[in-house]
Amino acid sequence: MTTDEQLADAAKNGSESAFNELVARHRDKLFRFLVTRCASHADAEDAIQDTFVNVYRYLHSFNPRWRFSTWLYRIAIRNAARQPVDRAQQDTEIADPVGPLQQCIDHSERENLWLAAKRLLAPDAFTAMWLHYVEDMPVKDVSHALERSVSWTKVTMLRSRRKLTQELGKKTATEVGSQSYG
Amino acid sequence: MDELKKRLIEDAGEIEAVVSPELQRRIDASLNAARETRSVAGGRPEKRNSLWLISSLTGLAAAALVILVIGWNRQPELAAQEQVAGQQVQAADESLLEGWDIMDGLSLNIESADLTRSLEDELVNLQSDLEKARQSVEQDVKFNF
Repeated sequence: MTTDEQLADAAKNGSESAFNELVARHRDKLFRFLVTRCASHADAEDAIQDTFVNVYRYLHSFNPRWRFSTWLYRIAIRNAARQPVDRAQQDTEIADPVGPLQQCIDHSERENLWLAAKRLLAPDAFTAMWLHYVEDMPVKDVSHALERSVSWTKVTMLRSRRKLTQELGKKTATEVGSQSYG
Repeated sequence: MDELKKRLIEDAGEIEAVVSPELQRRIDASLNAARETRSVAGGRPEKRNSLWLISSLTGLAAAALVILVIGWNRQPELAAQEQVAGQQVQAADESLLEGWDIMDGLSLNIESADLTRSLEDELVNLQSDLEKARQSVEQDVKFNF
């Protein structure tokens, strides 16, 4: 199977099909990530659109030392950060009050841990956890995507893990309690 | 795999967010627009970078040429200035010598000029020294007679 980096190299040399393959591989995962990061569904849609256009425009500057996905998420994070500012300036649409993440989760008995993470963690800490655990990125790549130092990323992830572990412990205790009394 | 990691991966899977056909059409339209812009702009970014390099080098060469031309024009100008200054010094010397025939026998302790500065400065200094010498001679002449 062709790697992302090989496809990126082919796309650099003018292969449209290679670029389309890269878009097809990453679009759903990237959109799910942007939904967690952006203030509204519309912002996430704008951000993914801008991200792929930027990837196409600046593909020549892609450094193969990094994974393609790391570079892609770095661009996506920048675009996501730009969205609320643009929207506030335009003042045309109000962000969804419930949050796009909650809209994308089916109501179930237990709270999705990412909703708790969204509530408990700072945006960059949330993104660091997401990139590491969901997108399976090494810490070094996470720090590169977030444009932070490796030590900042390690410390932030350690603190985030502690918070989420405590939250998970509470939830487990509640679930066990509700089962025994229920 | 620890419990937290397992739950994070499981819960991420529960987030249902996929690119809708409408959004995919939007993305395709933006990419097509970017492709058209690139083809209209005339080639790939590497070519634009090389154009930038060529224009920079041309600018540097033009700047070097301007510096050379200015330097070339300044050389005759400086030579002319030195020539004019030399004539003025010579004229000043002749005017000094004109008064000497009536001042024979007087000791004039005039220091020799130090011609290490620019000629214009030397001229100013010489004229100043000459004026001082003239005043000193006049005082001596009045005192003697």
